[in-house]
Amino acid sequence: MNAANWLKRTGAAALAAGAMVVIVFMSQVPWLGPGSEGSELRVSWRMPAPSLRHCRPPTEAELEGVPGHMRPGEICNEETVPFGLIVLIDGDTLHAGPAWHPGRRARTLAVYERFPLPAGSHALEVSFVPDSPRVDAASPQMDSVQALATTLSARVVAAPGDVVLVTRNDNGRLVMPPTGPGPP
Amino acid sequence: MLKRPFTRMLARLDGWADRLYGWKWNPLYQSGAIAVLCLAVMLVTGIYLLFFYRIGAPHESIVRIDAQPLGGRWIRSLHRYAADLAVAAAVVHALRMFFQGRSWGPRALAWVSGVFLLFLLYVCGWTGYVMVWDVQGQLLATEGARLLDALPIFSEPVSRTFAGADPLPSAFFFMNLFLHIAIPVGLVIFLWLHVSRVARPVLLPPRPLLWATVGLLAAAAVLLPAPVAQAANLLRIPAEVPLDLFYAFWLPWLRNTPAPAAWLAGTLLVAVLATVPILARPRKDRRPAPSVVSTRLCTACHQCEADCPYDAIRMVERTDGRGGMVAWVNPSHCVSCGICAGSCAPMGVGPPGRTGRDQLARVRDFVAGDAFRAGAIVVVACGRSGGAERGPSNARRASPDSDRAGEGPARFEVSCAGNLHTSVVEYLVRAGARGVLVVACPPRDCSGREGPKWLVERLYHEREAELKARVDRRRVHVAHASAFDPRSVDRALGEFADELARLESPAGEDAIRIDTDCEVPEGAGGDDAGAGPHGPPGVVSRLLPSALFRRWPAGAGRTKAGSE
Repeated sequence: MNAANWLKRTGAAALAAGAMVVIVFMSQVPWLGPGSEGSELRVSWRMPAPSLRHCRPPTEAELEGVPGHMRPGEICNEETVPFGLIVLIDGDTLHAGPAWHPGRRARTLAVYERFPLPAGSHALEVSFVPDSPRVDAASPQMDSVQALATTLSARVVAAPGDVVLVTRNDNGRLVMPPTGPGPP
Repeated sequence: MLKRPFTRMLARLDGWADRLYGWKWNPLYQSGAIAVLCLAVMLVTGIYLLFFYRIGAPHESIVRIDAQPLGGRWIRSLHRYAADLAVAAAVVHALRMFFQGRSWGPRALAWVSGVFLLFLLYVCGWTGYVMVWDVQGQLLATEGARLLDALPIFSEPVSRTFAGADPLPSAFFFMNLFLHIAIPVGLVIFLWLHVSRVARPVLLPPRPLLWATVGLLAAAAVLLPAPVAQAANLLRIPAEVPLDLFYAFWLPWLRNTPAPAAWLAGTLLVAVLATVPILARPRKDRRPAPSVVSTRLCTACHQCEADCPYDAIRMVERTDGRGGMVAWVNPSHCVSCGICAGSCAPMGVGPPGRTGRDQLARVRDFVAGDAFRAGAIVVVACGRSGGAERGPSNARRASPDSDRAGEGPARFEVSCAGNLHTSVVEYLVRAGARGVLVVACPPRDCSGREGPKWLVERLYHEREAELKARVDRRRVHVAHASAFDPRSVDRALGEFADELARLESPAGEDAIRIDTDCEVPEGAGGDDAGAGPHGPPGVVSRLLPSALFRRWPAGAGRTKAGSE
């Protein structure tokens, strides 16, 4: 092999190796992710959908044609009660709107919202209340629905990269579980 | 507007890579096959990793694989780097096909299936990184969930799964693993579709390049193994993320983009890519016409059917009462590469204006014109190769002074070396050319896929439509050169001139008769019957508009393929 050929082959191998190094580098480029900028407030829970049950005796027309052993004592309609979520940070309203509502007859109600939170100390208030304009306040079951309403007021200190999680415990209260260092 | 400079840039890159690696091992020509090779490497390494992956403890199992004394870390790195190289190779392959105008017409299926292959590769990579469940996987999962939540199809937010209030269910990792295994099955189906329109698809690179690629990947995996990033923690927002730019280059952009806008951008991108076959196709009057068969000349030898790189030719029953079979070109499969013109001994098939008879007519005019000098070398060049007169490399060059015979060679251009009928070579040699140097594209870069391969077979290995035994093979030489590799042409020309110098001066014949009547059916009127003043003899010229048979222009070096 003459010198020119040797040089050419070495160059070819070096170029191939260089291309591979570029691929390896591009495979793990360090990126300063969103955690370096600030923290996040996360409001999340899932619960049985609060509902109101309206019952009435069946009319004659409804009973007509129904065999005796199949006649219901009463006919009931169940309607999910819409709930709203209000989030205030340092007195400013961050969010005020209905919780995720998949449908009128849905059996579960899920709440999930994320808000950017500047690092530092903040007064936090999260309220989960029935969406009053759409609720039949005269209903006798309204007390049990009202009992689901809950509010959390707390002062939080968030460092960059922290997630402040607000969730609902088994007693129906809004809580902020401690965010430990280990993966959940 | 931008297509021409990009095409030139691509051709220039090809030229450089040809000089470094030679056209046989130029990885740019093998980009598609390298992508498939990477899929094979991923499959093998993926099966190994599957034995040790635990959906109940994904990150811990990756850390354990990394700590294996038998090179688990290397195999994981090999899996990852092969995935990265697959994307790079697939993108290069797609760009080549687009800029070479190989993305429309009968190639539309290959293009569209290729877009879906790339899309599936991305989804597969997405699930793969989520499987690792490190900080990058966490971001990919949460951003993916955010995108899904923008669609009105889920009863509750998918993102809530990653809220951090509850541990992630194993079912999530099981589903992810299932997708990571199932998607490659989809890849295989789309790969089959991708190559379904081509005959004899080449799925793997040549062996030296194959082992060199695997060796490079393995060396990178051993010397620069991919580190395992920090484990995902849903109650922390990742601050430092090692980003794989091949699969997650869009992550920084996506973080600050509303989900509907991201969907819109993604949908637009896929729509544009999928409609490239419509957007990139030339105007109707500029599209090359598919091949036609002269049913009177066809001898049903099956050679065009065997040579067609796109499975566009089939043999069907004759309907003209002569009995037997006849070739039939499926116009929706034919890319007008013209390879069938070179494969047909009786010159009865080919794209209009480029059949063997058309070529013969052109070469007759060429020999009669000023460009041809008896005793000089004739370069018969593919229009895309380094030997083309108006090719990008030659336009800037002075006359090729490397012709040792003392006079510059005359050039005769054809649309593809595989299109060239051996009768043209015979005619030139018998007319007194010192030698005929056929300059073809590198075989793996032929726009007609198999042109150079069949050319060599016909010239030297007695493939049907072969160069006749009476032609001195020492006066015929084939060289391969890409458009920006004029040095290879010069070198081949010099070596060929040296070889020819050892031979006697050729004796040109005055009245050259080329056999074209082996098949002329009864009543066809003989070889020259029906030939117009500029057109080729025989039946084909009578079947086609005379405008298709353009006169070969007189004058040195102004060669031009008649129908291009």
